[in-house]
Amino acid sequence: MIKDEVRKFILEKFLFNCGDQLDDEMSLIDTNTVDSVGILEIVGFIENRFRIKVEDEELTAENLDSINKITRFVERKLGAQG
Amino acid sequence: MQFDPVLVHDWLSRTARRQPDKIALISRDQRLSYREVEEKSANLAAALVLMGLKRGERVIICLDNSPEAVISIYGVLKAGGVFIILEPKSPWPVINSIIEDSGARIIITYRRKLFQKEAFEPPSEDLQIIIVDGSQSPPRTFPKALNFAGLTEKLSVDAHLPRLLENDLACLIYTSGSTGKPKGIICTHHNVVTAARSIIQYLGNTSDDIILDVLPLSFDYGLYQVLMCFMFGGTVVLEPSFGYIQDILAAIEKEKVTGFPIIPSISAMLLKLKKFPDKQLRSLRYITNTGAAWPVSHIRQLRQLLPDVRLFSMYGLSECKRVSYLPPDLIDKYPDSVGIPMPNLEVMVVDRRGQPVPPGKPGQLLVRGPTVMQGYWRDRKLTKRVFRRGRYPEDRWLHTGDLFRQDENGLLYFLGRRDRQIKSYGHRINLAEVEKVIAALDGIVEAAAVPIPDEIGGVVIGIFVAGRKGTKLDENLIRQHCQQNLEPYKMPRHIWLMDSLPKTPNGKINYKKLMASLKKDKPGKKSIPQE
Repeated sequence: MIKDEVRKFILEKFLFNCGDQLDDEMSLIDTNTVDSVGILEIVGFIENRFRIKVEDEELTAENLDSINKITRFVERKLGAQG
Repeated sequence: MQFDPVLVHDWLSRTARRQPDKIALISRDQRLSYREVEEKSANLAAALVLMGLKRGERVIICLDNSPEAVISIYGVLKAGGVFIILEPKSPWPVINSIIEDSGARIIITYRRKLFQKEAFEPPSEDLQIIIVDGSQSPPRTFPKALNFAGLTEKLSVDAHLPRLLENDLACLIYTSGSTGKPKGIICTHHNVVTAARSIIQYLGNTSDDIILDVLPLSFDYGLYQVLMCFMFGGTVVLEPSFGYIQDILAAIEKEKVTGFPIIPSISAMLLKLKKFPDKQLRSLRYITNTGAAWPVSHIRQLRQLLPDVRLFSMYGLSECKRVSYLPPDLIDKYPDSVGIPMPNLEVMVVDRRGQPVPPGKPGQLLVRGPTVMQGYWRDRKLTKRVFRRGRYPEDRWLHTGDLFRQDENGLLYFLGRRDRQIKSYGHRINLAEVEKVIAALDGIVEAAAVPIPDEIGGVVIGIFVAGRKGTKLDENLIRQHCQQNLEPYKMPRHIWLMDSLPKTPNGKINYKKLMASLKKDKPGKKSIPQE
């Protein structure tokens, strides 16, 4: 599942697997889970893993600021490629 | 005749009298007028005095860039206190060491920060906590905690605010030290006001300016955007971080931002976009860079893409706030220079014996002027070491520790550091501090931190770690330890486990050899995610 993979990536990469408190709805920036560079790393990950292309205009909090938002964003992109 | 104010907060009061309804601060969906910032901070000051805050006492503001942080800064100053801003991203051990070092008795922070993975254990019983978010009632664990919103409302009793001088302290700015603990830079009102005035002068700020501040207020570069703006009566758009680039660009476009202070990592990210957002940046009058040297390639590209935007390449250190700026008209001809000393400040380049060197020759940069700090908090030894006596008893020159040359025209060129300090994402980091923190982990014998070039960060930290014989080192454990004990920007991005570290003939870690081993193995590919 997309969500599991996104969560696994974020847990391993930014929380070193000790992020029991990270909720799927929680803001990644406000909870200081990732910073702006981290966001670019997440973008790199979803681009490679799901073979999608993230455009400049799509680098927004709306698309990327929680595990759920990233999941929905990836699903939308995959749907659009369909 | 009317004189200019000499205290940092009196400038806010003056601007608030002159233009009370002008928007002072925009933060996400909040817009605060000068009158609101003035009133709320005055109310907070009265509450702090009633809580027993004494003139010169320190208050920790552990908040993100937000209206609450700004109101706290001015509230503390009006109450005669000394503010210290810390990033909520910092782990508790770091914050606690600063609470203890500074002797602060009040901390203003978030409820969610108190109950992070490692819950807060106050280093002293007397520490008064003020919470800015969540419900009004205090959490059960901290029954005495006060609610920020309540403290910024008008009180029915009058508090007597202390009378202050410009040589009273305004803030402590904590920065990375070589001892494994951050050190506090002592700034008076006079230091802050004179520095802000010089910078406003060369940037040519007016009340029409709208400044976008994405840099943390814990960083003096981010802090001064607010302090300066309230002096020239402009508007500051405060963003919690440079998080989502499109949201930042949208804010610039929407608020018609004129001034954009950046660090090289931000220009790197802007220039990495597939299509450069020149249309969204149309309102900009100027971009400033400091924190780390601005790569000439960034300057050249920005000049082409934004020909009408004035680019200020600057240099400074928290110990004296700012040293120099390159007048924008010279940037095409001298893109690698950080320019000339700013108004009200002078410099000298000296050799190892302290003698001035001729133009073009390298040496250490010394700085003299009213922006130079009073010293390091509770560290007389280190303070004594960075100063050199001047022409009269109280006159001093500050050793910057930076190597420079100055050409025949007086232009300054940064050449490097004398010690093991690096700049990563605009943050100043002493590699020895990172080593000491990592070496404190059980099973580790020694650690050697080295700078690794990085496309966005400039450099990032790589660390070689050697464990005790027979112990198997766990990389994840080292990462967790770092996360719990270091600010995020000090986190090593690369870790290499070794049996032992190479030594020089006199038994010191051989950094040259370690660095050389990196060139052979191309460790740049060995970054955290893909391992």
